[in-house]
Amino acid sequence: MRNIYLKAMALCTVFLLFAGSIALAQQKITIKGKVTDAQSHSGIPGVSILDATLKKAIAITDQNGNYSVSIESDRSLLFRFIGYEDKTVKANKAEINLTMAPAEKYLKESVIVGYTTRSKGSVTGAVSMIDKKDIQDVPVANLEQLLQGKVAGMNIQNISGAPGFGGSINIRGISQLNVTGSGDEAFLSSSNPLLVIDNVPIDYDGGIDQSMLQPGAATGPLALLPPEDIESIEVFKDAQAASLYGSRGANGVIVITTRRGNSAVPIINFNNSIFLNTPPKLRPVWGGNLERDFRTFTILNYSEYDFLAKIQLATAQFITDSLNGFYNNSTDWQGLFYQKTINSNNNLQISGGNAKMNYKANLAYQMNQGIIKNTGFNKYTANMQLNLQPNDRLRISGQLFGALGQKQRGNGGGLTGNGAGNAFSSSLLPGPSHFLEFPELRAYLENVDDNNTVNIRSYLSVEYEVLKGLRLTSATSYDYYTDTRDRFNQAFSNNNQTMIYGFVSRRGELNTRNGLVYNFTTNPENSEKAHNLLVSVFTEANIKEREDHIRDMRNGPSDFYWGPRGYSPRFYPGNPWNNATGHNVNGTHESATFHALSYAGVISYNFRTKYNLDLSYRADGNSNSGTQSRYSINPSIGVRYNFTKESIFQDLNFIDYGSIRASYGINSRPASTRVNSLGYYSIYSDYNNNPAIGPDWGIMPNPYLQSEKAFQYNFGFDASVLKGKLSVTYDTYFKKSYNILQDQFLSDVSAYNRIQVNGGAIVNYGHEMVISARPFTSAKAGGFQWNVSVNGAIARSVITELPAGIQMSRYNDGGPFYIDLARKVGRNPMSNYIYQTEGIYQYNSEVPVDPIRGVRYKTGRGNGTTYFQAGDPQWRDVNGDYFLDDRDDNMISGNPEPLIVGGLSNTWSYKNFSLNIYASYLAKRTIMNTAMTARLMKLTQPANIEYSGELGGSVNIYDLDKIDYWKNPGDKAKYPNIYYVWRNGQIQPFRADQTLWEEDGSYFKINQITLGYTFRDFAFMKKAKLRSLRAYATAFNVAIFSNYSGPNPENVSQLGRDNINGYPSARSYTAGFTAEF
Amino acid sequence: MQTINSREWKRLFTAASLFTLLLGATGCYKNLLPEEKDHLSNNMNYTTETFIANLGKTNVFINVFNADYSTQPLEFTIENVRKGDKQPAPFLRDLVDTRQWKTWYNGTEKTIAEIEAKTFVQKRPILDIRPNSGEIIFWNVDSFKVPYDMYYFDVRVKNKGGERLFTNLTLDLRRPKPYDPYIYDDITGIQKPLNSGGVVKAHDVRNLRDYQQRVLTKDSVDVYFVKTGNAKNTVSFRFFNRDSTVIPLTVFDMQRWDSLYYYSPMADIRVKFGFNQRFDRDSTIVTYDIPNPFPVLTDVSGGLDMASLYFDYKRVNFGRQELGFVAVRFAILEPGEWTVAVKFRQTPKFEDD
Repeated sequence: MRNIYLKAMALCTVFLLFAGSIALAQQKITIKGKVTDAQSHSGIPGVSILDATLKKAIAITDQNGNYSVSIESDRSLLFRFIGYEDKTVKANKAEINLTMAPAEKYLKESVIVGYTTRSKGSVTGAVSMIDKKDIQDVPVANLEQLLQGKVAGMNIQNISGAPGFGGSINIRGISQLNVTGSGDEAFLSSSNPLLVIDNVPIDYDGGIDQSMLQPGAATGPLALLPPEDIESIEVFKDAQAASLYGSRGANGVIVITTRRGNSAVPIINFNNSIFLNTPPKLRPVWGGNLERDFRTFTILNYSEYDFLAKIQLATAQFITDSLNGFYNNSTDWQGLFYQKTINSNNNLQISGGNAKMNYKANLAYQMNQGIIKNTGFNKYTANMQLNLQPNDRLRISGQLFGALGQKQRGNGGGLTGNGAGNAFSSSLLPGPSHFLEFPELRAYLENVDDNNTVNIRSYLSVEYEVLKGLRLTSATSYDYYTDTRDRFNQAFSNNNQTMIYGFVSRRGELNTRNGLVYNFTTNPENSEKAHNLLVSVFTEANIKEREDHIRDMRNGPSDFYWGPRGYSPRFYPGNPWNNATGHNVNGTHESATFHALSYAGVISYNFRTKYNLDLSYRADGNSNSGTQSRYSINPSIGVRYNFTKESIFQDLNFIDYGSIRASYGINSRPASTRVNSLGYYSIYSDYNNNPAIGPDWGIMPNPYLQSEKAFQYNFGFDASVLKGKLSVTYDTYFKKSYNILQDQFLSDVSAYNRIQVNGGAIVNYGHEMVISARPFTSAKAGGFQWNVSVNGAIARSVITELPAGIQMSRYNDGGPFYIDLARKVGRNPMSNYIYQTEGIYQYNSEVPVDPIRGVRYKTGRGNGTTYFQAGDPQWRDVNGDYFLDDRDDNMISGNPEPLIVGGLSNTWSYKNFSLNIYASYLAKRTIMNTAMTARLMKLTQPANIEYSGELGGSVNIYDLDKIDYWKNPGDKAKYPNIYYVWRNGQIQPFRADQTLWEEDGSYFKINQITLGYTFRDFAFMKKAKLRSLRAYATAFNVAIFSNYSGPNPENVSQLGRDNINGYPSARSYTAGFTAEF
Repeated sequence: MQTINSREWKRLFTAASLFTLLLGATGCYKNLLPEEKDHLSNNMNYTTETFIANLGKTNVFINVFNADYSTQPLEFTIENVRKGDKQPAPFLRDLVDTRQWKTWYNGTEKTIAEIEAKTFVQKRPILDIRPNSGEIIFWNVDSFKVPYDMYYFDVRVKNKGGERLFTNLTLDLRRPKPYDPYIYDDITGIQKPLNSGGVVKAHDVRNLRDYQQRVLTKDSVDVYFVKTGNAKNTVSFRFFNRDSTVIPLTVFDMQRWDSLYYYSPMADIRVKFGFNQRFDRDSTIVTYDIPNPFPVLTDVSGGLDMASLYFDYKRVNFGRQELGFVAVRFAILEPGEWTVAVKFRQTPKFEDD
């Protein structure tokens, strides 16, 4: 076979030479002209101009797209540029101006699957792509914000508006059952996908465990990556696509490729913008006399006894002493905490080169100040890339990425609860002035919480073609982070004790991948008429190291001495700052090393690119897994049928392409840790004057722990008609995650409290659809164009198994909210397990009576007197014993996971203008309005400035006229009587664990409106040697439409809980320009 | 060419039908999932397994079952009621008239009839169980119906997820207590030892002195409950000196006879003591009409609700005016005319010094 090729090639060469000799006899002419883009009509620099006969490059266009060639008069010129369709022109005129149209890519687009570049038409899995055009024109603190609603089946919620913080993300539903934390700070274990940036696998969270609310700078890798530097984003949703990413791919994979240089003329691209962050509309508050009247009225009328009311009033001087100028105020506290900020975003990119050598350097800076004073995020990144191909066989690619993220958290707090909602005090207190300070406010303004993340990522890959079609590949990356967090709390804001807290973490990940790729085709000229085979095998080794240190000092000498910084008494037993269980609430030191080794292979075969088959296999072992089961196996299979490649479709020109896909695969996720698979030793009290060391009885080691696994079926359909006027992608999947780690509690004879076992299983299934249409396409320059794209996904999740065959397990949430969760086989993975509120008792006579005991329905068990009355919530007595009790009156309700999520994008362009409106939506999700809970609960302490219960925070009075509460017998109200000073302690009408707070969290959000203007052929541009110039104005986070009664149905935790102390999402207005030289 | 085309059509058709089939199958995702079943916890249990009940009153055992978050509603049924010798005792499941409540007793009712109007009569099995919460009730019957003895029974708990049988629950049925505190042992029927409940003492006394100026404690005041007839439900109070001479009620000169209240923990209110208060001709006996049982919720509260009555007086003790009282606290379960006789072991001094 090879001989035939050689002969053929020799023949060709002879023929070409012959042809060339004839050509020499022709007359040469010089042709000049300009090559412009068919859509933007700007000149294209770096277009290769070839002699069509010789297939030899003879010139390239300059930076404005102009060219000049001399060629024999009867020959043809071939214009070729990456991303455009080739164009051939007869060389018969002295001036030839032509336009080049962007290539209709369809199935030829390339996709990087399992670190190997493939054409999209041969990929059997479910892959969604996001183009760089979809993520421009908005300076955001975290790239994640721009991905919301762009991929069907990828659910992103910006749960916090704090700049630089991450939101929640999952692809095809949650596949986790474990919850940590409590109340509105309860977090579900991460279902985050794996991130691959320029071929380097990276933890999505950047090593921050969401459950560890305190330590860490909480700046993930996506917050550090500038969107301007991104070429494309691919999202792998199904098992086949993700299987080659091994044990970290079970939740899906996001592959991000940054831009590369591909222009012979160096391109300098400037993108500068300034943006204004504005706080959302603030809540109306009762201030001054309205507040004073409310407080006085409540105390006088709703205390248990008159004398108690009088005691309360006597001690609450701020209420009664209304003539005192100090208390005679109506301060708008909310206004003092929020601010508007003006920020800037700058990106400079220099790129150039050709296929032999190309380079890129990208520098970015963003200043993003938060809408709460003293918070914000600054980032500096530099990304440098160099690709070399000294000859046909060797390819070398190197990259260096460096970033610094500086985050100010102000007064600190968790991932979402870092807002100021708890600090808005009584309006009767005087605001800050020259003579006065207010501790809560000063705490927000002056406490320091600086979080710095330094990230350096280097990457080097070498590819060498040993034999024809057989390439040896080697890629090594090292990703290094330093996270620091430095806090200093001023004494007056911290019980007259200063607090100094320091956290330092160093994390490094070495990843090396070595393998062989073999490409074989029976017809190298035309793969559409051949058997094509790709075989790839590789091994991947991964070493992660982590070192955390924490210092925590209290009670320093003064606000001006930020030290000492060495010894940390908090970590020694017996000191009062340790919490009840002896663990430090602010995290512990950690030092860990992790090793993983994987073997993987893939066989991808297609016949005439019509029938495609993918087979892959990957085995992953790591040092954390149980000693008895080190390796987990991830096989997968996929098929794809490009039916439009059948010859009968050749004549049907209106169909661009069509294909159907099916795949199946198993992914795994490491579940075991050193603690649950090996156990650990603890130090007990002395025995014979020696400290006794023995196993910790909390958790029994389980060396048989296996990885959590998931199998997934995917069926898909892609089609496009009328030259892309309408295209559709549909996917449906059935995914079962099994072996999910669960606690199994042991009987006390075993000495141990619990063991972790592989017991849970969750099924996710659903449908995803993307429809793109171009209702108006104009062939004319500057004609009206309209592109619209809608995507949506219906996703359902169901628990199918719990350990030891049980049907239900309950998560005890604890204070202050006690919103227990139920996991029940046959239901969605997370449900609230709370009281059913069936309205408010209108009259006393509506309260049910125990016919046997002759008394009313009451809270609590036993013979107390906490009977219900009119104005109380009507909680369902499920077991009919006339006692309201957790154990038998809780009911399962709600689903914090949305049923439908999606997005919608509209682009109109006409002449030099373009307008893009992009929206996202979510439907059917249960939100617990715990912010309202907290607000109403605080009303029960009208005599206090600070709420004295577990909930904490200041007591302020929001506009109560906006709340539909019970006032008089006969009222049909939504909320109970709000004046419960004494009865709150009796029956807790505002308890959070009731369905009263459950609301539907459906919303429609307008994420972005961008108006752009492209400058073309202006004289000043030529003078300034500007190749292109574009100006744009963007409004981001424009509006959210929802029936939810809280401020924002998106700013809630993954478990659907709102937070009175949440950080609101800012709306931003941007004006910027992009210039290219 | 024709044959190629038809082969392709066939292939396309196969692919299309296969795809439609698979798509159709996606509608059946739900069928691949397990049905939601009710949860029946392994840790469900009766926290009390022996129920001590007395004849002659309604016995309610609340808060005895721990469902441990099993899916509600649970269904409870009593099975296999038997005596100690394993002989069945079906009479415990006989239906009897029981008094139940339509609206709650709030303690402010003006007449006995008003209280009675809040109740209704329903036939229930003597040994009863609340159908969804598992609370055990032994209704008010006398020993003609059921002899006092140890009985055993099983409770079956069911929901859609399965069922569990709690066996050998014990009903320890004892003699009736006509009044409370009762001086006779409800197992043996023998009077209790004098130092442990064999005689009822005053609930409280204050500033009670005898003629020798000795302070009399409440232990020196005996209280006797005597049933004097069956015509009506009444309670009368009489006071006797050490030598059993009658003390006239006029000595309680601070007693506000028209506003005597006791606190009912169940109704969470101070309830007016009795109805239709009347004195006999020489003011030695005070009599009240009472509902039965008295206080109204005493039996269903498990003895928590008791009536108390304070007899107040004042006297000058060596030139200093003192307020004193003698208090009794009791409940009456057996209907009839009851006399509460308060007898001082030392003759108290009510006159001024």
